[in-house]
Amino acid sequence: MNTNEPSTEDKALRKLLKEWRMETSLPPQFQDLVWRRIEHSQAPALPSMLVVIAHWFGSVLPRPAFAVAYLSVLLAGGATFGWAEARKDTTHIKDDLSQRYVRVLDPLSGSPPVIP
Amino acid sequence: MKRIVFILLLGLGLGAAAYGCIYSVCMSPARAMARSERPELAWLKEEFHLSDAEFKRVSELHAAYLPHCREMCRKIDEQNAHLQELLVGATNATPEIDAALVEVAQLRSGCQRMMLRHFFQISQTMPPEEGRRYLAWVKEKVFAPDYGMKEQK
Repeated sequence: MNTNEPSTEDKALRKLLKEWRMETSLPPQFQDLVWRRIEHSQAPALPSMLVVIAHWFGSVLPRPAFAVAYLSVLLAGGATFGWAEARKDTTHIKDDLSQRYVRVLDPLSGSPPVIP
Repeated sequence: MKRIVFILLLGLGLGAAAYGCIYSVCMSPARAMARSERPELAWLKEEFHLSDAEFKRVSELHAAYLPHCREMCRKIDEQNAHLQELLVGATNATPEIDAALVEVAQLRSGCQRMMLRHFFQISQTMPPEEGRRYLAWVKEKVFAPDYGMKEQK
């Protein structure tokens, strides 16, 4: 089915529009107003936060002082995170070993000790 | 632009490297402990700051205790199995069941006496302050009123 063929309703509408004549006058500066509205709708949207940050980084990072600060923050952050994770995992290992010590010594705990 | 990307990537690389290095260094004592021949004793040495001589004595006491502990385990298992046999199909308490229950209770109290003696011996091998701390810790672990109940739930 070809949808590009104008239907009979379209033809009637076109005919009606051709016959239509506007009798009232347009408001003053109608064309200016229309163009202004078109320009306004095409104005660029506000830049997103990501673009702002990327732009800020792009303009600030090449400066040596900021580059050093950026590297220092990431270095310190990585070290702190590593230390905190290691501390958590060490505590976990020590808890396991302390439980194991009790299990090895206590026949009532249900796990007989292995004699080396 | 290339310079910015380089600085960004360098920062991320440095952060990851710092994480890896610090994590690895801080974890190495715990890893060494867990990989040792007797991890639970290595933990005891570290936790209660034992000298090499104290640790040697503690290890000897530990090794001497284990065969008794194993023997107790075997007796408890045997007695539990015997009690289970008696309980199968039982509808009333019999003198045999009563005797088996008494035997289980005696084995349990014997176990606790043996453990307590061992804990006192170990604590006396440690420096006084550490010995007190060890006793407090082990009593809380093994002789707490709800000991064993949490694990069974």
